[in-house]
Amino acid sequence: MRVALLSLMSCGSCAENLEIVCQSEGHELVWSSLRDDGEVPDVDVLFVDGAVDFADADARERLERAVSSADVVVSLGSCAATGGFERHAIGMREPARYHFTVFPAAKFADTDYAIIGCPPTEDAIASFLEALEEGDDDRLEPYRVLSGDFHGLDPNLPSPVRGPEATVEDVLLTSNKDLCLGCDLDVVERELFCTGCGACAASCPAWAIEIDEKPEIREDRCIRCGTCFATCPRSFRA
Amino acid sequence: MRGLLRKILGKKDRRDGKMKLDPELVGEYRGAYLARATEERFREAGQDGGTVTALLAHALEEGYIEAAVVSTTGSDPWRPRPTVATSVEELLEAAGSKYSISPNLSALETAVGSHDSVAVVGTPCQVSAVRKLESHAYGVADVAERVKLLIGLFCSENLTYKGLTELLEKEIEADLSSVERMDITAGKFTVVTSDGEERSVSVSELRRYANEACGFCTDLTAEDADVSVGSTGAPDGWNVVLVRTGRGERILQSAVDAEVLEVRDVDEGDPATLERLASDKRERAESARCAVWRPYPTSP
Ligand SMILES: Cc1cc2nc3c(=O)[nH]c(=O)nc-3n(C[C@H](O)[C@H](O)[C@H](O)COP(=O)(O)OP(=O)(O)OC[C@H]3O[C@@H](n4cnc5c(N)ncnc54)[C@H](O)[C@@H]3O)c2cc1C
Ligand code: SF4
Repeated sequence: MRVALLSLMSCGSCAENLEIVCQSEGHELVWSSLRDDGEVPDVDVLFVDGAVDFADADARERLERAVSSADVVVSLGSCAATGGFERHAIGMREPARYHFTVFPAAKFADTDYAIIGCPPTEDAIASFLEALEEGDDDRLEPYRVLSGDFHGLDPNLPSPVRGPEATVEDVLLTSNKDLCLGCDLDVVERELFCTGCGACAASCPAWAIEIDEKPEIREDRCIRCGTCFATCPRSFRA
Repeated sequence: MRGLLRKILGKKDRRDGKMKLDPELVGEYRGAYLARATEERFREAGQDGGTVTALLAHALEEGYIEAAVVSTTGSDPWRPRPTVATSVEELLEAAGSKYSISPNLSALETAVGSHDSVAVVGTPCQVSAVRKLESHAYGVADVAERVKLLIGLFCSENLTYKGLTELLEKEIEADLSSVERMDITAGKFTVVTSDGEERSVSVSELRRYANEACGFCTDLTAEDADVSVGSTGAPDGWNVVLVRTGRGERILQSAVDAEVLEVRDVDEGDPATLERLASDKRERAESARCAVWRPYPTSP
């Protein structure tokens, strides 16, 4: 596939993983804001990584222009999708507070898909690109739902959630999206749905989850990247 | 032995034209057997026939895997602790079922981070979680590539450690530290204490002490595993083994060829009981779902 990358306020790990995947899987990274100037050329998919300071008019304009020229736009990594590290640990201060002017790129642009992760593993990026290339809508569904603009969602559900196998949309609606994709410092509802498998603790990039039987989240380390929630076998079905 | 497995493996797994065990109830499988470890030390340390531990030890010694994620005992009596075992001694140490939550996957990142090939043992929910990590690798790399063997335990429910302690106090009147052996068989939760006494309660009593989340679980036999191992449906000291994938079949075949495991036809056990338990679990989940029907979440 022909791929472009717009890298905003970020650490660069997502961009690096994307480059590795493009090389190993035979996708062509035709344009990257890290090395190319000018406008985004005609590509199959534009990845946006990083967050945006809303006072930074220049960044917002670059984002807007890039997005308007692409057919498929993907938030690459949690900074772009949820604000992640950039919003919650900016300047390396305690993540418990957040930087109220920094937002995920997805807040300012319509994105079609999001790949959660800090950074998303090469496997996740490769598997997404494969699904996109094949036009496999079932496999793309979680990426589509995770890309929604959650900030304005009505927390009152149209229908109650009855069990762990709720559709990905319903489950996402139950969480506090302004801070994270999970259930506001609870990966999934602890008593009712959590089986105690430990996948969340293994996936957490910030070492913020301790698990003895059920996960305990250390708020002072959590960067609200949503990786635990997206990984949890009971957030949505694989 | 080679001949026997071939005879059993080769025989169409059909009874009156049907599969021996209904795949609707126990998931898709390629073969169903009774099995146990040939070596005494595995049978001794293992919960039932020691099949899981012997199979892992064989996989380790033959170089199929470098390490295995299993659950050993932690600081408190019977408190499980996930660990990465790299030797037969460590596997033996971790053998035996602990009837409370052991978040085995919390050790998975360490395992795949430092070893090229690993096995994972887990309850059915943990097995499914590994499959999700394979297809949705947001946070843990290399699971699909490095997990070479996924062994699932049959599981009717799991308890919290607190629940287990209370269950023993209230229903069995025993203290965890005096318990030598625990087992779930024939619809009973049985405990043998250090004075040699055996006490039991019906498994239906377990519900109150179990992890509430288990109430939603429909999977008794770890349907996503490469190899599933349990005891329901097997005679004392034996396991029921369901082989579900090609790689599971290869490893089992190799263990049988090496006379690490002995196998028999599953019909020599009691497949009907296993089917009944599997079906009960599906129904139970359906009613749990109706019972918790409630608006969620409450407005912030
Ligand atoms: C909570 C629980 C409930 C079970 N319920 C049933 C049941 O209803 N019916 C049935 O037929 N079988 C059940 N089993 C499985 C059964 O107890 C045996 O584990 C199985 O028959 C394999 O026997 P084995 O002799 O091969 O095991 P072993 O050789 O002793 O190997 C058992 C393996 O399981 C691991 N393990 C132990 N405890 C846990 C735990 N809590 N979580 C994850 N891994 C663990 C050990 O580290 C070891 O690697 C249950 C097991 C558990 C842990
Ligand atoms: S991954 Fe989900 S089910 Fe497993 S321990 Fe974490 S919250 Fe619980």
